Parts: sequence; C-alpha cells; structure tokens
Amino acid sequence: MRRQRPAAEFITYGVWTVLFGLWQFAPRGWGALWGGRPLLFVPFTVSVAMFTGPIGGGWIGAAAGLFWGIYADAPFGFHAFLLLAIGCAAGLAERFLLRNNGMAALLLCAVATLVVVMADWLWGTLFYLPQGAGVLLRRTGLPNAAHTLVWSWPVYAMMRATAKRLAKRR
Amino acid sequence: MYGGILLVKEFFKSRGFYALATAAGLLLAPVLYAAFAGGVSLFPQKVLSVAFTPLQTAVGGTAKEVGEAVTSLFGGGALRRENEALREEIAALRAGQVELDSLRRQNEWYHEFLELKAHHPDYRFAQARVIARDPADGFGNFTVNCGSAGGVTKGNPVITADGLVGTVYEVFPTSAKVRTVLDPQSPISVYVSRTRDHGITAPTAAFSSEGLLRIARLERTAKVRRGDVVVTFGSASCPEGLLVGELTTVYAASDGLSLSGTVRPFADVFQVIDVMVMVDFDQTAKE
Repeated sequence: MRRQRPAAEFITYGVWTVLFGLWQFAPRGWGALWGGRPLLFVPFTVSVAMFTGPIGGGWIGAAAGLFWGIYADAPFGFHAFLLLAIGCAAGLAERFLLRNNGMAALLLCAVATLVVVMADWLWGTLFYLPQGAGVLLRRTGLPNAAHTLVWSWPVYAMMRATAKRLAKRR
Repeated sequence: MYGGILLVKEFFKSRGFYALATAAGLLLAPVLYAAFAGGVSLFPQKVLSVAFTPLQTAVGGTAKEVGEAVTSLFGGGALRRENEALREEIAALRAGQVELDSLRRQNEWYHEFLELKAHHPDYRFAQARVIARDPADGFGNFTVNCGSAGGVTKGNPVITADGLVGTVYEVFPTSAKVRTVLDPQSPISVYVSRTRDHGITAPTAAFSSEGLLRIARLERTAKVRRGDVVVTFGSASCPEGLLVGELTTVYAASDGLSLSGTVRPFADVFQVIDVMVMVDFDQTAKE
C-alpha cells in the first residue's frame, strides 16, 4: 500500500497549494457567481487525494487548511483538520468505492463542499451568531458551495494533467 | 469485497495513517483551546502569515488590475467612470450636509481623508491594502498588509476617505485581520450627528448580507430621521466623529422602549482595497 513519493511530487502539489491559496483569497480575484465565491481548496484537496491516495490527500489537505487558517475568522487549525479529514476520506473513497473519473470527482467535491460549508457555518455562525444564522447559510454558504462546484471539474482536470505528467516523469 | 475490507484495515494499521492521525490531533488541539479560551493566534500562524503576506500582496494587486481590465473589456469602463463621477458627486453632497451640522454645532469633525488629517494632526495613520478575503466569510472581513511592525495594534479603526470600515482584531508582524462594521462581533458606539442621539451598532446577518448595519438603543424620543449621518461616539481606541453611514430606516424596537434603525455604511466594505489604519490619536482632543 505504501510507496515512496519522489520529492518532485511533494514540491509540485505544494506549489499548486500556494497558487490555489493565493487565488482563493485574492480580494478581487474572482467574480461572484450567484452571490458566492469559490472555496477552491475543497476541489483541490479532493482532486489531489484522488490521484495520491488517502495519505497524500490528507497531508495536502492539512497544508491547504493551514493556508486557509491564516486568513479565516476561525481558530487556526480548524480548516486544516477539516481538509485533512476530507483528503483522507476522498482518497479512501477513490481507492475502495469509486472510479477515478470526472463524475466521481464531482460527487466527492459536492459532498466535501457541503461538509466544509456546514462546518464553517456551524462554527462561525451558530456559536457566535444564533440570530439569523439561516440567512447567512442561504446568502453566503450555499452560493459559495454552488460556485465551488462549477470549479470542481476544471480543478480535477488540472490535477489529472499534473498527475499524468508526474507519472511520466517517474 | 472481503479483500477491500482487508485493505482498508491494512490502511488503518499503516504508519502513514498513524502519522496523519497524530497530525489531526495536533491540529484539533488549538481549535479546542480557541473554542474555550477565545481567539488565539499561534506561533505557526504568525510565521505563515509573515511568509505569505508579500505573495498575497502581489497577487491582490494583480487581481485588481486583471479585474479592472476585464471590466473595461466588456464595456464596463464607461460605466465605471460614470460610477466614479457619481461617487464623487455624492461625496461632495455628503460633505455639504455634514458641514451644516458642523457649523451649527461648531463641530468640525467631518472632512475627506486629507482634510481630516489637516484638521486632526493628532491622527496617525498607517497606509494599508486589503490582501485577502475569506470567501467563506459573510461579513466582508479581510486581512491588510500592515501589522505590528507598522504600529498597528488590536482595536485600531480602519477607514477610507468615505468612512469607517472596521476595526483590527488580530495583529501579526506584517499583516492584520480586520472585522468590518457589518460583523456582529464588532459593535461600535455611535451617535447621530444632527441630533447627537447616542446608539450602538448591532449588526445582524440578515441586514449585513444586504450591506446594511443595524443601529439600536436610540432614545425613544430621539428626533432622528432618514438621511441623518451616523458617526462614531469615541472610545479609547476609536476617536469621536469618524463617519459610519447614513440612516436609511428608523423604527420602534421590539421592546418598545427605544428606537432602532438601519444604516448604509459610506464605505463599501465588500469592495474596499486601499485603507488607512488609524494607529494613534490624541484621546484628550475633544471635538
């Protein structure tokens, strides 16, 4: 089950993590779609996990979550824990339950995005803002989830191309 | 099927999984600590923040240029110019309105940013730029590229030429996190400039998502009306008289003892890029 990962693989996915992070948090990097902005780290973590397995997916998820923690109004480590679990689960699902294709990526991204949106909402809104929590979910959380899903296929395609190139190098 | 279960079992017994589980535990510990102890900024967060601030600043600048180029490409250039002209016109009208209030009360606290500085030599600002916004945040909170190295401290007001945007709530060496006036976690003491009726901002999710701010605890007998200008009341960390917004509605509060209202902030908190952090002011200087 275990295989040695070359340094190039870690570096490549590390660079992708930084690029996706920089773009996700850029103040005017994305136009809003249905009033929401994409949480790019979610499809990124899921896609990487589908090509590297549960361990690689977990570590990349943790790295992406730490990046998220710098700018989020949530305790540092919250998103890292969440994305680590998502990366691990997505890698396991791909290995034992689903085929590695675009439809599976879309399905996993949908589930992962909902998990992140709900966790964010529960933490940030329900604990600190009991009044009007539903409004925030409807006007921010769900539009963000919808916009994220739009990006799940392109992100999966990018990661598939990256994985293919890395495999060819090996 | 049986083979699959065996493989899953093998995975959960692998060293890789144990390493991952340890990492998960380490990540969960500060989360639980923060839940009980309130906001904490950890050393790794500070290190990462210092490392990524220059990169995020560069990307933020580029993204702005790209966004503007795309807007111009699709014919938005003329609209944007018209919008800017209208904004200037609105700003001039607001200045006139508050000038009248100021004259009546011999109170000269309202000025556009440069004038504000000229009239308040005690105000010290640190120039900053919004470098990151968390898309998952519904209140427009953001991070600026100026931190403790630039003199920024927790509680500093963040303003634009239009008015108050928010307050700093977490400071790193080269960056700082800002909670906007729309965030329910940052209530501000305010008063209505024309009548000097005191109130407090009490944002709600419903109003914030429309870019509006709720103001509460206004005296029931207050003669406030739509269009009145709301300014900061002043505190140890925020000077008196910073523009907040314009009253859009006034209604009796549910308790029947006070008035509430909605305020449209002058500063566009969801779009703002260039801001000023007020790092110091003379607390003894009264308007």
